[in-house]
Amino acid sequence: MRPLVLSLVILLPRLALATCEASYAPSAVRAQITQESIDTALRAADTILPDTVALPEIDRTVFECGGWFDDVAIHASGAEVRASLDQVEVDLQAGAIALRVAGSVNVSAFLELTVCALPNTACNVALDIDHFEVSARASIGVDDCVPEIVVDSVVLSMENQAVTLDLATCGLYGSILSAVHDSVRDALVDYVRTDLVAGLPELLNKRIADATTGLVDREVSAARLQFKAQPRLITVAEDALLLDFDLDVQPATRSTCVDASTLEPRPRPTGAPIALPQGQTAIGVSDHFVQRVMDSAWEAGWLCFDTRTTDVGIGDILDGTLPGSRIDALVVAKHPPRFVTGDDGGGVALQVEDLHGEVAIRMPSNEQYSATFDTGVFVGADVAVRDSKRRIVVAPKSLGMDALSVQIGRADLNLSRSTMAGFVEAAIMPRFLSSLREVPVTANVFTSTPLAIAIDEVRTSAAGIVASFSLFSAGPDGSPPRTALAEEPHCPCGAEVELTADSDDDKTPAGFIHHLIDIDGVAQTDVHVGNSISLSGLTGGRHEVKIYAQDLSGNIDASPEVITLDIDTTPPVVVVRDGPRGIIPAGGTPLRIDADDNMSKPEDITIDYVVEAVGRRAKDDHQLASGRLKSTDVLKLDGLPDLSTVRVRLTATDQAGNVATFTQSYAVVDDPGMGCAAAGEASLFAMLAIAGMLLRKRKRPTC
Amino acid sequence: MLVTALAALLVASPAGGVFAGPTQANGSTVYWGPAVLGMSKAPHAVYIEARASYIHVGYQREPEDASTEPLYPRETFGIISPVGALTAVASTPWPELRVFAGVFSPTTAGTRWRTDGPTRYHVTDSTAFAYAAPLGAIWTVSPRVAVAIGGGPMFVSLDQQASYDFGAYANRALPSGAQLFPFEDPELEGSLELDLHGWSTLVLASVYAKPADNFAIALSGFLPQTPRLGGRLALTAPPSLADAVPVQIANPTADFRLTYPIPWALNAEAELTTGRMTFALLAQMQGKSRQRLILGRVVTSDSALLRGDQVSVRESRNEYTVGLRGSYKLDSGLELASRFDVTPRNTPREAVSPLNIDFTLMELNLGARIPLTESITLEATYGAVLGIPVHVESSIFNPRADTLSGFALPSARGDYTVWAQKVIVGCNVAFGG
Repeated sequence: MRPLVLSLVILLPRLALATCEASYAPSAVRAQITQESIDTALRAADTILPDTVALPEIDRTVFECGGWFDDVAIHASGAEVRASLDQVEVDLQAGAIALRVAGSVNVSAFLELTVCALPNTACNVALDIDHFEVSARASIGVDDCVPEIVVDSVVLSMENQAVTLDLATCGLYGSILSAVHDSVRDALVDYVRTDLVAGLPELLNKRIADATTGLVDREVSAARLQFKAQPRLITVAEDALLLDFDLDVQPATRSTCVDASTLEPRPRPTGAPIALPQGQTAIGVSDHFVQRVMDSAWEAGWLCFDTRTTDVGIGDILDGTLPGSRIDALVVAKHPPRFVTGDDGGGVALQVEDLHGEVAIRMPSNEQYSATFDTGVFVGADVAVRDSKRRIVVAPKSLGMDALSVQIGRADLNLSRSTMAGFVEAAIMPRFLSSLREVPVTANVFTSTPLAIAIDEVRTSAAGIVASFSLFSAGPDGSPPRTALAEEPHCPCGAEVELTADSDDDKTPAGFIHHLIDIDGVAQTDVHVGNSISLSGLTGGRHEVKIYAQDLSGNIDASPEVITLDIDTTPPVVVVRDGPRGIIPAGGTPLRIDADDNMSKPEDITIDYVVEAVGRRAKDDHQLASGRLKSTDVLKLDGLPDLSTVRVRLTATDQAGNVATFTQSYAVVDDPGMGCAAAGEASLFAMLAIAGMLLRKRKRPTC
Repeated sequence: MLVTALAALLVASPAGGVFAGPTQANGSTVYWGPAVLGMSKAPHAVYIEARASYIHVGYQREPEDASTEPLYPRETFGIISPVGALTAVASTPWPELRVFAGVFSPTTAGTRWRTDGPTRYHVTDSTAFAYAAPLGAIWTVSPRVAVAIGGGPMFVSLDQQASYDFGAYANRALPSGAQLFPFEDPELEGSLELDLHGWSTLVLASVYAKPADNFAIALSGFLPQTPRLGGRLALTAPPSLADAVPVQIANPTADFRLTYPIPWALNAEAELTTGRMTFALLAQMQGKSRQRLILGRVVTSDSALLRGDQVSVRESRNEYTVGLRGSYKLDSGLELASRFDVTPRNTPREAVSPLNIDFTLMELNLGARIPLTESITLEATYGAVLGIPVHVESSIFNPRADTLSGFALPSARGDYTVWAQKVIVGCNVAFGG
């Protein structure tokens, strides 16, 4: 059973919500649930009520027998109420919620009878109320950070002819019981009418509390961040429910990169709830909370880049030329980044004013040459939603530097500040950028099954980030989904395989079907949401993979899709066969490319080429051309700048995604200057003319 | 893997003095074409020639970017190049058949750049020479026609030293713009030494004809088989780097194999005698395009630094020389001669480097030949060679090119000059007549 309202709430936290804590960022997140979304959610109508409700024991005297005999009395115990809802309507009105529920009720109980002079007896009885309606009007609010529903009025109506009492199991006493039938029926109906309805507010609030507890008890962390939430204000507006939350976020672990002594107590942030677009179900994260997330991410080491612990291709970059050498870099922001949003819905940025770096070049002799640098950086970022996690994330995508300052430690290797600055800019900072993970600004959004969401749009503004979304409801579902793949993978495949599922279910949308994976008989822990299934870490060889679809109600397909994957982890070989060396003309030179692989056919090997002009000295290279070839193609180099050095990089990728590279440089000389054209040699030409008549029937020398 | 720019600056014009050519019999005849020896009246003869040349080469390196590179000092070197040649001919029991033997150098080259100069990464000291010792037969077809063929072993030696820029080498592993180490930093400057030798063979052929009493023509040529040189490649790291990377860097050596083609040559000369005057027009073509790309391979090495193929891009082209000789014979038998040769430059200017200089050479030789006795004749030549200065505006050499390219060396922009003087003496001895 799932709660209705609370499954619409965003929540992340794990702290109990007993009291409002001052450390939370107020109005950090606002969610707006439209009437339409609530209607969608209510398709799972039976989730509003618990499976059963236990009734208290009932003692009632039906009539007095008088004299020596006991009265006719009933004692009902172990009674349970099962309600089935046919219709649930929630009508959001300004300041109130109108609730209308219609359905049927079944009450079962164990009945003990005292019947005048007859021996006492006992039997099971069942009461069926085929149709009832409850109309209630309630208001919802937050009391001491606990959401509370106050039911202002409840009206229960049922039709008498819809109420039946089954006493068939009471045996010989049935006829006697029939005499008390109406009394028993009235007693049970009266209970439903009075006690149960009277307890509706308590029931609703208990459900809210249960749901809240369920949510807050869940461990919710993401990217070394621990999120917590508490409701701040719930407002019922016309056709919309507004939920304001105070959020807190803390680093799950504090990075050793960050000097604890520099940490300053974080002031309680202030900020108004972010405005959400009218008529849309949406969630808005205020800029002051995003800033708080960035603060915590920084504390957790988000802007800490250490090549000793991160394989980003710097450490052993010199190993091929100076064997045993290592270059290690440590880059860390001294203070948290400042979150900056644009006004026009564009990207966001993170401004780091004091990024400090240390570079150490270590030689096999354990000698170390070091340098430090300081710079400001401006990290451009996109805001996106990652479907698999239902998270709103800030994804870094570009980096600009400002005021780079380099200091050289030891000068034995004659490292200069200018060359080190180039190394920082061209080698360290791009890898620093690539090391920056996406930072979630919400840990999870609307993950409670059977409801699921799809993000429609994410926009940024000066006030924060707004994501609008749609809701899906699986509704009651007892049948498992059907597992299918859109197409069989074309292997050999690499260590990482992307599969596209085509599974379907009668209730769960395809995008919300989960897929469970079993590889060679070993169940995998990763759950794959939607049509995309990513397998990773596969070793070379043949593997049997079983794929099980699971719907939002937890039903698992008993007939998995079984596929066989041939995994190839050996890269291909690519070379330029019999190509030119040295000087080539700008007008054009064909390069015949040969590629081979242990598993992929030549036609299945793709070759990406990049032709770039190699800069001289400290000048950077720049790309001249790029494209893709087949292994049997000829790369035609033409239109090259005269008197330049060009480098051709070939990257061959086999069918499995294994990559091999080949690099060759050429000098481009379109019209090699020969002797007769040399400066200062004009006078010579006349002297050579006669001899040339004899000798120069030949063509111009060619390469 | 290292790149070596292999051999070598041409240090002299074609062998021989003022009387050089396929219509002349002297010490260098085995080079120019021994068919002329079929016309000799003496049954046997020995011709000896010794040449000493002084070559002076200058280079003013131009910075690639004046804002980031220093102004380099002008550098010059002078080198004395001794070369000898021997030709001997002997009769056989068959009057129309003679045998010849000789020793000559198909190619000789060398440099002596300073070890701390701006050319050092291309080459400092280098010597490349070959000596061939052919043996053959001359068939006098008629009193006016003779042909000769022969062949023999050829010894080739190549010694070369250069600086090695470990900074540039390490920088090639780094991405564009991230060149961590300064180029041509003395602290990161090691040295590279190459010492290679090998044997091969050479074949030659020539034909001499005298259609008229006062007119002779001759054609000749030789074709060396490409030798495969073997020897030692040694790398010495700078002290700072050797200390830092003690095992891997410090002074590795390798067994090196090099395919080193020796240029072929085709010669033609026509000689006209009018009274006391003789005029000759000489043409020569040398197959230097064989050395356009020189490929080497490290066979075994004690370091990964020296493993792999080695490529030297020289972009040499076939080269030709034309010359005009005129001589006047006095009553005393003394023959005074002068000769002017021109050898246009054929290597693309962009490929010129301190190791691979190719000038347009103009050579003026003045000399004399005098018979001391009926059987002994002396020759002497003084020659002056002037090279047309070469200005290299753009260079194919780029230290940031990839290692396999063969031109990952500092830019060779700048002005190159050369001049030379030479003295040649020869002695021709005929006997048995």
